[in-house]
Amino acid sequence: MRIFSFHILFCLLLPLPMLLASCEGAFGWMYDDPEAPATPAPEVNADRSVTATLSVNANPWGEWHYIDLPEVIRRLRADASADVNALWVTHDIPLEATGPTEMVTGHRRTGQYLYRFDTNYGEPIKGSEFQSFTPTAAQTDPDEWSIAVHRSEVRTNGGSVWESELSDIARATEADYRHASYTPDEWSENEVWSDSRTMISQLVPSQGIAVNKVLGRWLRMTLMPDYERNGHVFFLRLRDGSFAALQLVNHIGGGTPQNPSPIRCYLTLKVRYPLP
Amino acid sequence: MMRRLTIVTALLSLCFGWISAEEAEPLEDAFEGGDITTMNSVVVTGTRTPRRLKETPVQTRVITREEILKADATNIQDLLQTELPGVEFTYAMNQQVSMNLSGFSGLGILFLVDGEPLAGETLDNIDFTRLSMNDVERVEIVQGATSALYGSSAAGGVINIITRQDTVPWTLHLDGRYAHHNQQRYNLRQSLRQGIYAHTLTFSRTSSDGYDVHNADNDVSARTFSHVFGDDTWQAGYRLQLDPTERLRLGGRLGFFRRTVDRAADMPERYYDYTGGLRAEWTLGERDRLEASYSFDQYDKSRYQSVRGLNVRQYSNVRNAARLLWNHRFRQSDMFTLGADYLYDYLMSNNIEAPARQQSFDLYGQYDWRISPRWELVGALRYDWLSERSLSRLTPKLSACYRPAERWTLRASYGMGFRAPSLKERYHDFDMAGIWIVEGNADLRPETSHSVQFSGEVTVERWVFTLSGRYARVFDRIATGIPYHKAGDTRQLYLSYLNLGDQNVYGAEASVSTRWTCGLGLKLDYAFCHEDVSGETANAYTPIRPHSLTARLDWERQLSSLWALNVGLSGRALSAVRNTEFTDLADPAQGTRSVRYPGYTLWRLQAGVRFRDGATLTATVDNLFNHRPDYYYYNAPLTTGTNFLVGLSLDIDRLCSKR
Repeated sequence: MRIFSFHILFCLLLPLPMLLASCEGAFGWMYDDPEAPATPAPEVNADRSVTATLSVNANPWGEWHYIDLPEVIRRLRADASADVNALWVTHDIPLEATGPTEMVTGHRRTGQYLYRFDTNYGEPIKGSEFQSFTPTAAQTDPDEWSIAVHRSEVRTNGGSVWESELSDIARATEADYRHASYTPDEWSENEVWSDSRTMISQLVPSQGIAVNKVLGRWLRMTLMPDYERNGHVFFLRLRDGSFAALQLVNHIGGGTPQNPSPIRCYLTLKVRYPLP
Repeated sequence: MMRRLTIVTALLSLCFGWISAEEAEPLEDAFEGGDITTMNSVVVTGTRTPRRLKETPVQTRVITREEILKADATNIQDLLQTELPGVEFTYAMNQQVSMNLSGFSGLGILFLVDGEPLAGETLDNIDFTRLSMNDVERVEIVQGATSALYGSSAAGGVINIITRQDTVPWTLHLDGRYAHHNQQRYNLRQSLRQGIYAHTLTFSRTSSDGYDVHNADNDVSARTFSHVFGDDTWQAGYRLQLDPTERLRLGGRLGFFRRTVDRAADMPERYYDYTGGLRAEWTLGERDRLEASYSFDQYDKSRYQSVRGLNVRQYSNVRNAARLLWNHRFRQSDMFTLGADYLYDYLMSNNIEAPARQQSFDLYGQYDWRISPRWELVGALRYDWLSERSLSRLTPKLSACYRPAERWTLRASYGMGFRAPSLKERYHDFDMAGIWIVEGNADLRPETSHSVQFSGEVTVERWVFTLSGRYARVFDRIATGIPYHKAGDTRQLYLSYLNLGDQNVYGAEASVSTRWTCGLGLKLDYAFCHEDVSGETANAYTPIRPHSLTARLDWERQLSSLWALNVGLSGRALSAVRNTEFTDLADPAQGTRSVRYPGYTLWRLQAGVRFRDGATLTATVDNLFNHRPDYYYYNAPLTTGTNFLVGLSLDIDRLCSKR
């Protein structure tokens, strides 16, 4: 009888956790909070450079996001708790046509270049074919900026970039960055995808603009829309001759309790500047 | 056989069997006429009362445990496409699975486990990988409108999975299988029965690597894909049963499921399911039986952000269901059934503004009138009430069964079905990477359907022949319409769920099966289906293929008292199908075109050697004729050619038993 009672009790208690669960579910503890983690405090290095962490939602197809690295460091030196992410400046990519659509390319004019990409969801891009060109206004930039990001593409303000083999920005000064071979921005007309709405037809308009193809290697689309992050430390020679070390530490972020959907191309960078 | 996308699997959250083990007759005893192992199976789905298959007035298709083992199926998707003609699983929205059963999309097909509903959806139905075959006794399929007994989601039919019940003191089963693309499957099942107490413990694991597929030049469709995603599943379940008196049975169950899909290496998708339930079956007397159950099922989706190590939930569907069922048998064997259900449905998703909730309640009655030994009539009426917009529906069903002779059975039925718009169809707003926004529509009307079907079944010597036909008309069919621009926004495309129009579905099936005394068995099933659909849609799903066939020839030989050999050849053939599609989905104004999706056939040869009825080594050549699609799109088989599988199965209890 005791065994019988035990089994009855056990049988009835077995699904108790479920019964106690609210009608709207349980097991929330199995998951993480979508809120962004706290930004690490900036570090002042022995060589007087500052290592800071910057985040920006570079996901929107029609925007460039600019940051001025010297200004970031100035702010942090003045106030280590300063919200330097507020220093990002956003400019839209001009999409409005300023002239008739043409079927020629090779002229390097500012505007939208329509390409047909040989790719599908879940597969790498196998090639692209020029379709047409629509002139637009030139991209407007802020007065002061060091780099600009658009999804995985990057521009420099007259700078140039070298990719090192380092994967720890704390060891940046161990690299012979002063004597490395730097690459400036290069013209591109099928990399800065500016509108996704015709992608279902494999047609993607891209902005004609110079981008830094070395720094752009920090994030590469592999299987669409899957991205592969390159954790190397990149060295940026700014227009004024100063050097910065940059490392992309995450490319997924965002999300709120109301909308926990994570965002690709939500970039988190480590920046060390100025290097000695 | 077809290389399945479902390289996956896992168990299911096991439930308590509706039918007691004592009621289920051993397959060996089945049917004096020959094979036909299924004819004496007890089925419950058609009338919600236990009936032998050959006697049930509602046409029911049963896939037995023996057929499940022969199919070597990992999950319900595997099993259905191996055994059932007229069913097709296709892939859309980055290889998510959708289903078409004889012209009805998965939205109109209700999946149950021991009669209990399941939560969660992937594209148009549940996550099929949840439904492992490890602990399944049989699968019962009732096609046509069964809304009079099962409510809104059963306008096209019900697929009820019945779990296993053991009668022996203990069992311990282990099996493993390995195949190409590092496809692995492991199952464990242990049961114990002692006095009034019985329990079953199950565990399953499947995994598969992703692999590339190659399309021919000049793709006919922009929707081809070149990589099939790998996945990984874990599943565990525990069931407990008590028979404190001869008239009372109590049970409880718990289950857990987890699946990971590497659609994106930087952010793999994870799917979880937590389930539990209680059940009581009380025999009130010789004529009355009462059942009560409570079921909890929570299906979650999350994405794992590998860099930050965050596993963030984005979707949760929770279903709490309570059920009451009373059967009363009259003196002349007539049966009256009265039942009521309550369901609380909760949906949270990052694609809806705020969590959606819906309560539903139903009450149904059924009278099974056995007019004479030859005639039987079953009438059912159900009232459904849904809290969303206070929707209510009354649905009737009438079935007649006539047995003009001992081995003949003729059946006819009419059913009215309805399908209320799902919470997803009402409220989901899904931004498909900026290409378009799929919009829910709170003003959708329910689909209403009327279906009739006829069937005849005859046994001649060792042969069983079945012929059936059906027609269904669906009003106010719900689907996404064509892409459009909203006023003042000429750039962004929208797709809205709409009541598009009507649908006519015509179908016929024929099957023949036999088993000879030499151990040779044959089973052929053919299905025809035709759909007429009105209303333009950008739906990715292709219509059902008009012709399909499944076949199995198997032979079993006992070589000695210890050793047995079995060989089986099985396959399926599907005809080509044409679909009308937009030339350019981003620009509907360019019009439509007709796209032909070619037919194909896949065959599998399987050989097994069995020792002491407890250890079986199986070798299989899958896709025997090395079929490779030219293009991999929605409805192409995900095979890369001939595949070899090897499996080992151990029933430790049988190996340990004295013979």
